[in-house]
Amino acid sequence: MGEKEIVRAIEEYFKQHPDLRWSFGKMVLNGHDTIKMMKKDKAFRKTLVEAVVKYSIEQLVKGDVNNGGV
Amino acid sequence: MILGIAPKFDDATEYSFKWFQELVKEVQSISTEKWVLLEKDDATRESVEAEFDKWHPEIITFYDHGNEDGLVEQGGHGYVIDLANVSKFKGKAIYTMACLSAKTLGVEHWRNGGVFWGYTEVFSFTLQDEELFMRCANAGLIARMKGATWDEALEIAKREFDRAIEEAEEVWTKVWLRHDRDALVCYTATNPPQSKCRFRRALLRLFGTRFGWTAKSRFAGILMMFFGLGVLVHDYAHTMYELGGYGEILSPQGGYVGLGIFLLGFYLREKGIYFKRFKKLDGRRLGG
Repeated sequence: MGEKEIVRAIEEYFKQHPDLRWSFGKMVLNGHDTIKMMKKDKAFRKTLVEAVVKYSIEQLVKGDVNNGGV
Repeated sequence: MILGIAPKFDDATEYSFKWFQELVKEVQSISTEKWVLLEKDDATRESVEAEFDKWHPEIITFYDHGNEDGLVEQGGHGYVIDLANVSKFKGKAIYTMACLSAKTLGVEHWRNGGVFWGYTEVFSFTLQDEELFMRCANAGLIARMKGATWDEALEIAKREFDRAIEEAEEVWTKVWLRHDRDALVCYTATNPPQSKCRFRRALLRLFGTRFGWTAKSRFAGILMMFFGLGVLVHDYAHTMYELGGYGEILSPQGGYVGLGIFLLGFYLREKGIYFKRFKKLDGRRLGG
């Protein structure tokens, strides 16, 4: 799965959860703003993708340790 | 004595201000430590410096906005603490949840012999699970007030993040908690900052933590430049000696004039760099 697919999956998630809001440093964003920011801000998009990938890897590794394989 | 600083001027600081108040309440319930509070419009550089001079608190707590170079004051146009005045707080502990502040400001404060608790990346949180994030952001100071060392408090806070990740149901809460947990650092005498720079890492390995972090790359460059110049002058003098002995070395040579011009140029350049640096820092102090 490449960056494009991850970005698309994130977009899809926000379309399904429009009420989700978060604070990213100074900005407080809703789903719509997040998608907009991902399109225009490369550093923001990179952080988001990295955060998702790192979390996923951690879960996979954890699953591997606890369940003897994913 | 704890100096507590908490601006409140935008959406994000609405939350951080609430978390800060919870932190103060919790610390007051477990410890007799006195607080000096600089909240909202009082959270300015002038007030912070004045109150610090008056009380000399051991811990400075700051919630919320920051960047690599400083902690942002009320209104967002300047800094309460930045690279220009951080040396004022040498030897003290700074506890903050400000984004990115551990990257440069934290290292500089640690170089000055202080403890720095902060984040190397942007601190993020989901609004519907803000309580989980608050719990994690506040965990370190609470642990410290309960008697843990700063290093132990860091471990306790990271464990709190792990617990919160397990408890959270929303996937983005889990993602951001993990992100914040890994960005959290606490620089102490026993837990120095890590460097991504190869030369810095080599210096740290060769000369140890203190010198390795104190030495600036410009200092290393100047040292290497003068070493190279020394080799060059020695080689030049040796050639003169072969031509006419010591008399030839001591007689006026065009090469010496070139060397003089070089050193003069170097002096003027360095003077200019220092002048510009101070001017820049002063500008940042005034304009944020």
